[in-house]
Amino acid sequence: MKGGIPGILHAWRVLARYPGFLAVAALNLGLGVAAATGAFALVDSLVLHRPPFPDHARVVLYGEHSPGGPVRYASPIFFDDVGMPAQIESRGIARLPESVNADVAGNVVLASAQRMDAGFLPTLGVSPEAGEGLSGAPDEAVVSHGFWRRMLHADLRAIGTRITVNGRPTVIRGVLSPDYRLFTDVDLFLPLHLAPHAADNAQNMTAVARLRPGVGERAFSDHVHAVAAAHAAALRIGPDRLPFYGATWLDDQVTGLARPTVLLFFSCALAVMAIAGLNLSSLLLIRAVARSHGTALRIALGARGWRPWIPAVGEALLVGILAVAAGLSTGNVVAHVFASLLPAEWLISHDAIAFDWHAWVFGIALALVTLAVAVVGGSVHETSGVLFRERFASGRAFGTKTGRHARRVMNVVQTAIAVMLLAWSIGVITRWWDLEHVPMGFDTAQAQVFEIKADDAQFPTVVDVNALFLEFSGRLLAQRGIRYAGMSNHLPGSGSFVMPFALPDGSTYYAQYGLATPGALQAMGLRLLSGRHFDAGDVGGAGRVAMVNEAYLKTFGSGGVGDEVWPASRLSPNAPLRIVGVVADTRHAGPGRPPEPTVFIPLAQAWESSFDFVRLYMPMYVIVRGPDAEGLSMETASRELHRTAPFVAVAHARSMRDDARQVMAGFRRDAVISAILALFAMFLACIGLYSSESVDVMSRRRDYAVHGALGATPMDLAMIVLARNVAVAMIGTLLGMGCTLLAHRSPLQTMLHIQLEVAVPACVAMLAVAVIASVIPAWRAARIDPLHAIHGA
Amino acid sequence: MSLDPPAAIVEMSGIGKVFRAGAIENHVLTDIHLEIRQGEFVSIAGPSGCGKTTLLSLMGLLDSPSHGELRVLGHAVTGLGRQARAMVRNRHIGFVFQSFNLIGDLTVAQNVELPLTYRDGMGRKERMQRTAEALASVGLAHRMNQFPAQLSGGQQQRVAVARALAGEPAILLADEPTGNLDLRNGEIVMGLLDRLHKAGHTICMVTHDERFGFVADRVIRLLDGQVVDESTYRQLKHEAECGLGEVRAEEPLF
Repeated sequence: MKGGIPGILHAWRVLARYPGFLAVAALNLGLGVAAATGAFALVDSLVLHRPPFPDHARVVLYGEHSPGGPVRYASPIFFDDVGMPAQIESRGIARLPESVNADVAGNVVLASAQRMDAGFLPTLGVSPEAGEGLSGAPDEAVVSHGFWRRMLHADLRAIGTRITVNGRPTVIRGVLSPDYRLFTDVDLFLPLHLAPHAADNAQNMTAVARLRPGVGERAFSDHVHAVAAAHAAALRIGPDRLPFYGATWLDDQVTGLARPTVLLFFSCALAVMAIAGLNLSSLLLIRAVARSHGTALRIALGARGWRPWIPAVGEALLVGILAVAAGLSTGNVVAHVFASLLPAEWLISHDAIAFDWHAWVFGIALALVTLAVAVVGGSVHETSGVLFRERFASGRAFGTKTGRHARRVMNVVQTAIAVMLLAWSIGVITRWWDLEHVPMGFDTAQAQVFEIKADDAQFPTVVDVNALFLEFSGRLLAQRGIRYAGMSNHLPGSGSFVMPFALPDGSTYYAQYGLATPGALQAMGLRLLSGRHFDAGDVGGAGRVAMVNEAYLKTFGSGGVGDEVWPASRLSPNAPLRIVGVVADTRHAGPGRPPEPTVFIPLAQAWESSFDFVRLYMPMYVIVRGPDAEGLSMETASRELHRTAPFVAVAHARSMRDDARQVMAGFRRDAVISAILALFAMFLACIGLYSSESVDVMSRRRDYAVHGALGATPMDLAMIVLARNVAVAMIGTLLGMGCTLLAHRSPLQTMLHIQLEVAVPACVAMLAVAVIASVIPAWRAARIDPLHAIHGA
Repeated sequence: MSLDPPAAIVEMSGIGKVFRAGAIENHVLTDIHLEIRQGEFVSIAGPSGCGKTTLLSLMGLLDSPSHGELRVLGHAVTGLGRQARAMVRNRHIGFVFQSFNLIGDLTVAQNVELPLTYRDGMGRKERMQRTAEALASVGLAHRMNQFPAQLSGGQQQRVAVARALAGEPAILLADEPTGNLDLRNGEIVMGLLDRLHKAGHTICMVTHDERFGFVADRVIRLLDGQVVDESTYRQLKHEAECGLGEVRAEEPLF
């Protein structure tokens, strides 16, 4: 008898004679490991990964968070009101990132910049890797490590030199660490100067505070809430919004965006792994059945300790090695597929999803634990149970009801899990498919968009900006194959800027607000339903006009062309605009959302105050349309722009088609990931049903032979197997659908989007899988010779 | 009143069975000529490895002969496929195995009903009726809802006999029916078979225990795959009384 390594090697040689079994077992576990490690890489990178700030555990973000949105925002006026209570050690505030024109030694680029006060980075615990931080003086900048490498050639001598930001000379004071990232990538960190008593109540700032040691988040959160309640009237905070004021740990904020979805995927992946584990147990049992007599003989001949189990352990090891190799490789691919589908704001660091040693250790540990449980639970346990009979009664192995029932229960559970995942996945895919076919309401073909920033230093007034865009549009129209060109802050498939407008009853309603130059709406592909588009006559001195969409007419009860639009913002004068045109609705907020009321105003007639606000927070888009529009290169656009404005950059060129497709990215991501998990689960359920029935056929050959001897035809024997597997699958399917129904009626539904109409296809698919899984065991059962009834199996 | 001899249930002419393992041929049965008539109780005896069980397997269509012709109820069955053989077994042949071969997770009644479930056109009511009758005929009607593991060996074999009878077969084939039983239970089972024979059933039994050969009308002795002797009950009794046989008359039969 071979023991130790020779015994294990012998077991490997024996198992190599069954390549089909080996492949199925390794593939089964490998798929489980792949799903689990792929999802774990997401969890590790997006949830477990701590923010790259020293001592970040004492940092909170405070302000209001919108229902369903995890990140808190504050307004300058609220930041002032909260002040410096005793609970906090330091605080800081920063605007949302904006685009700026950065001229680095004649190379003009559209960079991402974030304006922040001098306390923001220190409160986060961030200090420059080289040079110094923001001092509070104007016209200075700290650059990101990426910008420093990309634009300043990683030259430390750049510190202290000047670059031009939005036309203003700016001194580079330092370079941040490559680890720094807070929600998004930023190139330049610029000083922010809030007035001592800021009157800005717009929730567009990120306020951070470092709590004193020992102070809990709850205490400071209560203080923030109390300030909001005390100043509710002045801050125009309604009672419905008050509960959303408070503070949240930075860790939770950073991971909060990704956490619900990622943990849902991880749970599903663990369910897939559980199915794989259950299957492995049954598969190893098949081998245990084949080996049981030999094992009993080994013990009868005096084998002690673990020696009788060496073949079981050896075979499990071989399966494990192959499965881990296949699973980790596939898991890496799965993680990269996931990573390609994730929104950038989910990333905690600059690194994308890292499939590093954490995932390797997790995968190997998970595989080992699963193997150990499968060997102990599925193989050794059963084998020891029949040893007595093997040795003393030469009885029939593995006929115990308990073992069979346990396998059936496993099958039911894994079928239920697979059905739940399938139902969820079909629902997600159906939703995505339906939304893909929802008309967006505008023509996405033959149009291209460029991003541009007309900064206030170079173009201080609306008139300057309008002149810039009119000239630039003219140059673009001179290009071959361009029929329309225009500028707007509003794209029909993305972007969001709302302003209040007055309803007939005097109340206000926030509608989408778009500034547009003549030709812009035609370039966007919006369909004109009545009236006219903006033209060159819609300038400052002329009568103020507006264009609206159908949703506006319905919501505001407007009569359309000739009727009036009443702005209700403090940023605009209380004067009406005459509607000159009505355009068709677009699915501005995505195909799953209804069209929103939208008001377009000619850029030349925009109020300075509202335009400054738009310019502060939003990029501007130049849109071109025509047969050759999608082929218009960035170089050509940049060259033509620089003839008009040498210090303005054009960036982020993409076709309108891509822009519209981007709206579907989240739905597509969910569909792909859920489909992968559901396919894994279905495949594994198939292996589970197959392996369980195979065990049954192998271990009850004599019973099947007796059936045959008593007159069961081969078809009768096959039907016994088929009927049993289908019955198990039906029970599992019913259980799975029951759980799906419960989930549908639970709060989870807001995240899962389960559609009960998919129940029938999910059930049919599962039953089809059960039939497929039965084919080989049924064929084996049909071939059992009834002679075994006399001679024994 | 007819003077015709009873019809032959099983007829074997020139039957041979060869098992091949590579180039080696093992002639298990050679040139067997045999006929079992309706109402007969035939016992096949012989030492271990002489081919008794193989002969029974061929008779029961569990296996196919290498040579010769086999007829069941006058029909040639030698060339039948698996499907057809299964149907003949189900319709006309009942089996009693040495190790009972009851299905452990079926109740006694379900075990007895089992062969009837493979018979086309038989409704559940008729199956239940036949099952109850078969169990009553072996004295186990009160055990119908129990599982095999709850019964003694003798009772399990009686259930096996009931299962074989439920289909009302033309012949009942019993392979060492007492082989796994103690003497007392063996006698009970043999008494049951004797009673069934007297009630008109045709039985062919393989046994190496010649004490039970006396219950048969005819004993066929095999040696090395060939029939070496064929005796009637009368001849056997005479041999026993004269001390010529291996079985002594003073040993209790039941």
